[in-house]
Formats: sequence, structure tokens, C-alpha cells
Amino acid sequence: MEKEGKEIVEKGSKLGSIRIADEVVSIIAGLAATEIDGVAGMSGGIVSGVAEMLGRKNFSKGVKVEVGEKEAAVDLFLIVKYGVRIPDLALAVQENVKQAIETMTGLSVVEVNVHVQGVGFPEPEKTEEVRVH
Amino acid sequence: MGMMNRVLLFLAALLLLALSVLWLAVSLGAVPDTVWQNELLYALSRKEGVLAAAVILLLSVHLLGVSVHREDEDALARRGEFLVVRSETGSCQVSLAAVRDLVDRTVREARAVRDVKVKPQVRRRKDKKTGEKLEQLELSLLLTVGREARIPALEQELEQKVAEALQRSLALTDVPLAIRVTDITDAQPVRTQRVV
Repeated sequence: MEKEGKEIVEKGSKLGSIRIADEVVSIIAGLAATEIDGVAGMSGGIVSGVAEMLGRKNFSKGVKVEVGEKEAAVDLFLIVKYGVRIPDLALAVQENVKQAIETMTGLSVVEVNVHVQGVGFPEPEKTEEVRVH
Repeated sequence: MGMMNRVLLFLAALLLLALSVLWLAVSLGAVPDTVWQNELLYALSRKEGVLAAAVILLLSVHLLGVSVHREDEDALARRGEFLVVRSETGSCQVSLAAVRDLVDRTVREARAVRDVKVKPQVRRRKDKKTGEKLEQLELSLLLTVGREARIPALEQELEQKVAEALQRSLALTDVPLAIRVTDITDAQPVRTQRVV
């Protein structure tokens, strides 16, 4: 098996190199962050908002990445749900994002910084108006 | 670049656009020499012209300063945030807007409160002994209350509610809270459901 592994690597070097685009890492990080219960959404800028209004989904909204050949650093800008414990949520998000990127890309994640930009409140329940006669 | 600087840059660009159009018009002979020379002399002789020139000078100097000033993007972003927790994986920072929304929601749950302005502030200082940078969140509430309010009891209630909310959501304790009642109103609280 090891011999086979060495042969694959050697073939790989003859075929070329693999480079992962920043956008790909951003999308992975964004999806991994929103998987965590307690994250209401990602916080984007005006451009992201306008793009979404035009029907274009932006999976890398609220994500900034720095990608090197072997390492990556991620900054996430989140909106959290009202009532969640933010430090615990942040730790869960960091772990999930780190695991997702390392598993899918093989890059080593050196840091995942979470920036909580806002709190999302639940919509008030609409009840039927009852008129007193 | 902040919103204000973007607006100033827009105005400067408009001014340059107008000047360039005028220059082209004069160069191509679209405006007779006598006309633009008269207008120019008139404008230079007016006090308003001097004032306009001074404003344009200040605007230009300001934009020049902005263009050469380099500030770390991260530092800019962190200005409105404070650190909640730092782990091996990274840090968690919470924006003051998020803190404001959280405290605002909590305070409005109190029956006697009609309106509130929450002002969060972060004081940054260096520990003299260790040299470590410390951040302390401080809150001030400006309240408008109803006539039925018992202010001392309301203050205690709000201090407790806010402390609990900060502890529950941000794991923060001992956050200084300043409460000021700025107005008393006759307005009734808004209730979405009157009868069941």
C-alpha cells in the first residue's frame, strides 16, 4: 500500500500541481458555519445584499480567507440567534469550520476568527385579531 | 474608506468632471473667450468665490491625507468590536451593534419602559504590570418610562435583567451599567394581543 502511495505521489508530481481557489475555501467555511445551530446567518456587505436581491446566492458571504500553499486562516462574520451563548457557539463554529476545511482541502487551518455582527430575533407570531362585540 | 470619505470623493470627482467639461468647451471654442473670461473675473472678485476655493482646498487636503494614510483593515473592523473569548483555534469578537440589540431587547421587556437608547462602549487600556491589553465593556441606558414606573425598583430590575442577559449570551460579568431616565411619558405600551 505504501509503495502504491509513493507511486501515486510521483505520478501526481508529473501530472501537475493542485491549487485551491480562495473562493472554494470561503464556500466550505460559510456552509460549515451555517450548519451550527444558533447561527442565524452570515453578515455580508451592501454588494452581497444587492446580489441576493437579484437572486444570486452567495455561499461565501461573510467569509474572509487567506489561503497559502499549506495553510489557511478564516474570518467569519455572523449573525447569531437571540438567546444562544455566544462563546460556546463560537467554539462550535471554529471546530466545525476547521474540520470541514482540513477534511475537504487538506489545508491546515491556523486560525478561525469569529466576528458576531448582530443578533437575529424571531419574527413575532401573527395571531388573528379578535374583535370584542 | 468610510462612508463620509466616499461622499467627499464623489463630490470631488463631480467637481473635476465639471472643470474638465468646461476646459474642453473652452479649448474647442464652444464658449467664446470674452464670455468665459468675464465669468472668471466675476467669480474671482466675489467673496463667495474665495469661500468656495477655501472649501475645495480643505477638501483636497483631506482627501490627500486619506489617500496616503494606511490603517490596518483588521484594526478598522475591530474598532467597533470587543473580544469575548480567545482559544487555540482563534478568537471571537462581538460587535457593539450586536450588544446594543441584545440589551435593547432585554430592557424593552420591562413593562414600564417605553423607549430606550443603549450606548455600549469599550474602554481599552494596558495593564501596567503585565503590559497586557485589556478591554472593558461599559453600557449606558437612556430611558423613557411610563407614569406608572417606580424608578428605583425599575433600575434594580433592569440591572438584574441586563446582567443575566450578558452572562447568558456573552459569558460576561461585572459590566458597568449606567441608567438615566430622560423622560416620562403618558403614552401607553404597545400590546399586540388584547384578548384571547
